[in-house]
Amino acid sequence: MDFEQAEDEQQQAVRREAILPVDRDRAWAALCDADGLASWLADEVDLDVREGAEGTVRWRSGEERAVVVEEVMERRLIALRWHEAGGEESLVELTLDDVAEGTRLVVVELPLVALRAVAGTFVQSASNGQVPTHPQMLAMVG
Amino acid sequence: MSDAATGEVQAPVGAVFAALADPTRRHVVRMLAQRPTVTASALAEELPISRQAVAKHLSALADAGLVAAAHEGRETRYRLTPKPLTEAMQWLALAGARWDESLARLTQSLGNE
Repeated sequence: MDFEQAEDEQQQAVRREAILPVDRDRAWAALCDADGLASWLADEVDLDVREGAEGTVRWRSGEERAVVVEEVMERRLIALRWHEAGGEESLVELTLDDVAEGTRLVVVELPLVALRAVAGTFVQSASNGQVPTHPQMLAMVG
Repeated sequence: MSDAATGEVQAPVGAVFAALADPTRRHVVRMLAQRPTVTASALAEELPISRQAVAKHLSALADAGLVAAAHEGRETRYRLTPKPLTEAMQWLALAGARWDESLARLTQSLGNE
């Protein structure tokens, strides 16, 4: 069946990108603290954007997620884990890079258990035995 | 395996993605989608891997609720149980829609500065 063949690049994660009409510093300002994030990510953000920090994000709909900051690379990347109460935990990675029109923001989200499955394959095949960083892992499933 | 035989495995969305993280298993799912039931031996004939390897992949897919096994005489026949796939697609659709909204808010707020 044709549509099944077309699914060869099976989607394993949510991946979105947006071109932000601002420079990298301004784009980073929208990611690097609770006020910045509250302007777009959710309606309420109670989170210190530093590695290991725990907090919450809330939406007007009443939805709330517990968040843990996994990794912060200044002006480049934020990786976090989040989950609803009783829900499945997923990993979210926000990455910035420069493009002609401004700054590109790439968002990848996938359930953590799926990432572990992919990482397991990767680690087995890696000769140095080091656990790869999130961007490398996510590149495999993106 | 008894759960898999009834096709009533309740696997969370993440387990479905984990099962589908393997390209061979994705291929097996596509093959299963093209016929009502199939044996591990028949699948192995069409794949460059052993019957044992196929059986292992089928077992992983069964654990994720994507495949059900039924014993017919000496044969075990497998069929696709696509409900968890639908749930995984729903997760993708909902998470994607949320990001679309968030990114629209972000580009709008930055564009208005």
